[in-house]
Amino acid sequence: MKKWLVAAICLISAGLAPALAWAEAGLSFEQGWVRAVPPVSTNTAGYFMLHNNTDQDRVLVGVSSGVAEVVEMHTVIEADGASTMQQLKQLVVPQQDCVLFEPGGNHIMFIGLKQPLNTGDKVTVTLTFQGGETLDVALLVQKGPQGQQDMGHGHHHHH
Amino acid sequence: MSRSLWQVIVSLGLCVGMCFPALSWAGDLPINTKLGGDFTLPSTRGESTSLSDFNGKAILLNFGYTSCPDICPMVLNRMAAVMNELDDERAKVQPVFLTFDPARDTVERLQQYLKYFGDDFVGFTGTDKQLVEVARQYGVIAIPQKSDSAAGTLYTHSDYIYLLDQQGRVRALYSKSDSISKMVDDIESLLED
Ligand SMILES: [Cu+2]
Repeated sequence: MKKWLVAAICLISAGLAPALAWAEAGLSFEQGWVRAVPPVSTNTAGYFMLHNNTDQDRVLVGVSSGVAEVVEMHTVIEADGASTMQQLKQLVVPQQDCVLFEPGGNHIMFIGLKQPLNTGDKVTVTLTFQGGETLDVALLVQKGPQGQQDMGHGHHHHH
Repeated sequence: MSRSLWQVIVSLGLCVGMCFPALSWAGDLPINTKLGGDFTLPSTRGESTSLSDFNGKAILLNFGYTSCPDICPMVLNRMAAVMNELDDERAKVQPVFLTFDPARDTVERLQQYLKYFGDDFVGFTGTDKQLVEVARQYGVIAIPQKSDSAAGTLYTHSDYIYLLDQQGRVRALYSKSDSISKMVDDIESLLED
């Protein structure tokens, strides 16, 4: 996704979500969800918007959760009409900015689910930042983003 | 899957975007004369199913693998959303999924996986050779990637949804940015023809 578009989404969401602890300096998240998948499937992905409300860049270096054997950070690279998933070892969340995890883009990959996740379940993921700071995010298991149509991210360059 | 076998189809895959000029027009949706064609493979409907068995219905077709954590379930959700919008016309449209990962995607697994998206979804698998041939027919890119991810083999792949008419001809390709309502509109116009 275009950088300016992410920035715009961050601003919009900041304006729309006064309930978020904005006064509180630090790291916060919103719109967290995990994709509900068929019970036979042991892999899925999680998404959220991660805000860095501090004046220093933060580096996300690890993700973990009890629901799967392995949890990894991935991103999707699109080229020549095909998508490639690539594992991320770290991800910078710039100061006073946000990073988006979304279908077809950055995502938390759950590999080897220990048991099927049901719609409505909450999955806790612990994010670890450089320096040892951690943030627990609660992700709601649902079929698509906020009950909306699953659109993927808005690439328009193949037309 | 032998890597070289899949690489043969890469250059053909790139043609998806560029083949659109090769069209003849019929109604609102052009007939794509470069992509598509019949195939006969093992499916969730039986040991030997042909795509042409569904002639008379419009077909929504896509390619993927059930171990895919992100894009394939998203695309299948989009197909399910389209099917759910169709109401009475649902019976006139056949949703079809082809795997390019036959080592993991057996007919049984496809059966269990696809019923989540709808009882009418049909899944096809086959040998590597058979599936490469179908991928070539449809200009699909699918290249297994060795990665250090615990997920094992992940594929670099294209993710178009194909709309075929009642005679099995490719009439439209949809990317992730095309809306559900556009797909529904196109299907309805095909069903009116
Ligand atoms: Cu992924």
